[in-house]
Amino acid sequence: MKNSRAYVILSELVCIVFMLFCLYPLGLMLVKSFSSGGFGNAKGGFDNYIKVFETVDLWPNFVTSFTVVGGTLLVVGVVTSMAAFAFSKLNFPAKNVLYYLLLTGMMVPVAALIFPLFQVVKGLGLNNTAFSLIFPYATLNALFNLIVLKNFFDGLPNELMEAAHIDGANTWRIFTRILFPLSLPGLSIVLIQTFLLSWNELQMAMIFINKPAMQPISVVPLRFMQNIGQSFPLGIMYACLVVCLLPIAIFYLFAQRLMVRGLTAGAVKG
Amino acid sequence: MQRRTIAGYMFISPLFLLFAIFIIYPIIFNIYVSFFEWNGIRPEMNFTGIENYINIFKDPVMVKIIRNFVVFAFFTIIIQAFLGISFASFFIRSIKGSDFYRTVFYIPVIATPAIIGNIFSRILETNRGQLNEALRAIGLDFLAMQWLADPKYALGCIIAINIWQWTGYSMLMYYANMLNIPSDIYEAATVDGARPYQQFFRITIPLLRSTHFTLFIMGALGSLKCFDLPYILTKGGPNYATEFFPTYINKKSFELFDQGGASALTVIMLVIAMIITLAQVMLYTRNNKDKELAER
Amino acid sequence: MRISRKAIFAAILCIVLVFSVACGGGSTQQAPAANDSAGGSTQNNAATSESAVSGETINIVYQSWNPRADQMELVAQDFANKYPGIEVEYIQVPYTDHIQKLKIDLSSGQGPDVFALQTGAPLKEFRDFEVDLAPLAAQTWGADWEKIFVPFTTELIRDGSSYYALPLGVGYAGMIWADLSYFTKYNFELPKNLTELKSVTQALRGHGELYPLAIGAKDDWINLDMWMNIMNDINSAKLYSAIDGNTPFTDPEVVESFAIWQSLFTERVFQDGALGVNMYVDTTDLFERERIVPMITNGAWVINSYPNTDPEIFAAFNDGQNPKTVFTMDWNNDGKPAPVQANVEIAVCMNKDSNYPDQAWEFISYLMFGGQDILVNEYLMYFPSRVDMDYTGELSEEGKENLEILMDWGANNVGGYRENPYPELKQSIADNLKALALDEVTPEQAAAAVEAVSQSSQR
Repeated sequence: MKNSRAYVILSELVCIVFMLFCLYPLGLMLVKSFSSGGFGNAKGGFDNYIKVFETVDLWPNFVTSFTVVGGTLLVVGVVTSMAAFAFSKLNFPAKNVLYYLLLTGMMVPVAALIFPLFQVVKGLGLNNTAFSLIFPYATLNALFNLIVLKNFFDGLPNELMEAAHIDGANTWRIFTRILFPLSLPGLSIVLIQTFLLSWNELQMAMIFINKPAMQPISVVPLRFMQNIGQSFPLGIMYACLVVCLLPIAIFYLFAQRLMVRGLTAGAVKG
Repeated sequence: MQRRTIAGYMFISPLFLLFAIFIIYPIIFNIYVSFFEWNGIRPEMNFTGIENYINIFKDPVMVKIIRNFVVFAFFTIIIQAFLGISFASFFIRSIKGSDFYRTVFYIPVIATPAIIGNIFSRILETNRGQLNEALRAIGLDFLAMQWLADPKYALGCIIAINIWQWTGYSMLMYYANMLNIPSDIYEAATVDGARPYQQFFRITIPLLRSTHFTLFIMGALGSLKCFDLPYILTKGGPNYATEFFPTYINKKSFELFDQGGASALTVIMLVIAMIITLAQVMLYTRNNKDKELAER
Repeated sequence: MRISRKAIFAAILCIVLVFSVACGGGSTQQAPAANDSAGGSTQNNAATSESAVSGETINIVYQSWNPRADQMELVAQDFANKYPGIEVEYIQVPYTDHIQKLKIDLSSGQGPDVFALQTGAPLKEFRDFEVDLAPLAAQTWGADWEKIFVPFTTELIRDGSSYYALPLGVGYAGMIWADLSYFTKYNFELPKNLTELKSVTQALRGHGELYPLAIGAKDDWINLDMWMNIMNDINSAKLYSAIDGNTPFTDPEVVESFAIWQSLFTERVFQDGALGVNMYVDTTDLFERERIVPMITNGAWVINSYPNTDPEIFAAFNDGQNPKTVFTMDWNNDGKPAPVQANVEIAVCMNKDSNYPDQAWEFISYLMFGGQDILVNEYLMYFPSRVDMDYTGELSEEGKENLEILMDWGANNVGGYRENPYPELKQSIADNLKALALDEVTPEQAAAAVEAVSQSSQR
């Protein structure tokens, strides 16, 4: 399909404007992370970043974050795929009721969740471990993303199921061999989203794990923020924010490529 | 059929297990607490029946919260869906730089509340903020407002930032689902002489129904649950102009030490969420039936 | 290809199942679960239980929102030297999160052994988890131990004959800090009363200054500080009697205070858009780093910018280019500057569920003496809460002058307390101050609205 000239010009124009809108605030942050502050006797530049690593030993926090996020991704990936597949492609009594019951689950605000969740986590003996965060994060993200992934499964043709059934494959095989691979583009959106939310989560991270050294990286900028008035210029806090964001950006670029590959593969099949 | 029924339950059981442990209990807890006067700390609670609920219905702030929710949901859903579908269709027709734009448009999603709070409060600051400086520089002084300080504009700013952050997500959802539309439909339509815009309105948009629905429901529930942006940018102010359910729950729970009231508000919010979901589902399935009938 | 994918999938599923089983097992409360959980179930935190097993040093945990971790390091080391066998682990959490964390930790039988609170509502709400320290204090320091502390601090904390906290540091609020370079530059006098303030800020605006008097009015606390200062200037006794419910807020003098507050916004004494910015650090950075603010509303703690470890702030207060002074306003033009409000900076409490109450008390009693000496003299974090204490640290001449002004107010010109112990009333006043600032209500309407809440709130 060829695009008319007017269409090309208009769309490019809109995209460029929106790109600037997208990038400006983040660019500003990057610039500020190298800035020396207002009056110019702080050094600025890469010194801000060096100071971040000098002030806080970030590695244990990174380790916790990777454990938590890795565990969460694993649980979310498996649990959500299975449930979305069932809700989209299988029939069973009370299916819709159960589905919408699950959807309302994503509505409870964290402020209302946190105290009872802590009781649960503590009751299970999980507090002060990475598991105390993995399961709550996984649950919230799985519920949030169920609707996304189900929507994606809905888009996959039912004929695939029928054909496989006639070939004698059981439901499990149909899921693992045919539909799960086809759902990878949708799943990668879900996983990117899950990565972001669980990497950045703050409130539970701070409360479910006591020792500052064991808390996920998302808590670290707070240590800078609460003291900036006194001992750190803003530039250092921005540098810290950038450091914390880097893993997300890398994961995003990686997952984005995976997604695009999956998408084009899916398009060929369709 | 019997076997497939069991299979269905097997597939959803892991999620249900998590749901039962980590969501059901907190909901029950909130319902229980909502009937008590409790500061959230003491071991003992006073049973007060539905007094917490009565107080909420008498609270003048509630009107503002509901209004903010409706306005916020309306604008963010419509604008994000419009921009999302426009960009997705640009990219599906692979305009120049599609891959690049697609990557870039999603980037704001990674911004944490801390970043948004720090950056946008500077951009929108009245006297030296970049937005007002830019407006003044191009001679539009009269447009330089007290953005976050004026109740007339504060909610608008929060909506704009939400659009900044989440348009990429809508775009990606539409894009992924557009790729699922078999290309032979378009080919057939082209043979029949349908123009591109006709194809877009007659084929693409109707076939994305379930994506519209998904984004709509996520947008509505997301607006109800809106917390980070107002909390960090305006603290719900000025004078409750950007107060939402979760920010108010937070205030009740941690500043006013009114855990009972906070829980009652949570329960009300959940009920509203259920009503929204139900209404949307009924609308969606009814339309679906109409469509099925028409197709027959 | 197919096989490997299946294998991976199976492996993933196994892990998830193990997770789920671990979960389910835990919920039946019989599985020994992970070793880490032992600490949680025996009602203390991981740190303490570990050391209990080793039996050598005892670890106690102190949680607060200030000072900074590295400042506390010095205190903790000094403590470790003086009390071998006890080690303090310090957890610093921003104030709101601190309250949230305490709330959750304490009510599930955990939490730090020693924790900090603000006097007023928080100290009252956490009462069930605070140990009465009066007997311990009497045992350690003798029967007239109360005389150790600045009188108003004990008055603020005392509940009957009990003390559920001890005061660490004192603070004063309600003043205005000025950057004198602007007054030299434009040849202005410092404003002494409201009329002068209004004309000086207009004149500053005339010179293109954007922040004649800066405030971060998004923060309720600064609004409350300033309004209470206005009210203290008009009639101190009436302010506190209104807060306690004995004078209606509709009293003409209270209405007058609301009107003065409102005029500061409507007559553009404060900078434009003040309601959209917070104090720390949106607004304070403009004064303490960028030096573009002639006057700013803030508390006495700004004094710790003189010995600040941040080079930029240190320079702004010590390089002589932007000399600073602190003063209070005569808000009602009666010729007398307003008195200040005083508060206990940190009320130190002992967790009643602490496994090591003796050690926790050792730490608290140390914090009042040795710890406070360090925090005051090294960092000027607070003003001393002990009567026998004076600041002995280094300070520039200007810093000393300002410190003397503040100390003098502390001794002779305190109007009353800074906090308002009734959360609902406090919130209502704060809300109405914002509505007034937006010109959405009249002072009379605001007064009536606050009065309605005042009547219905429990005291």
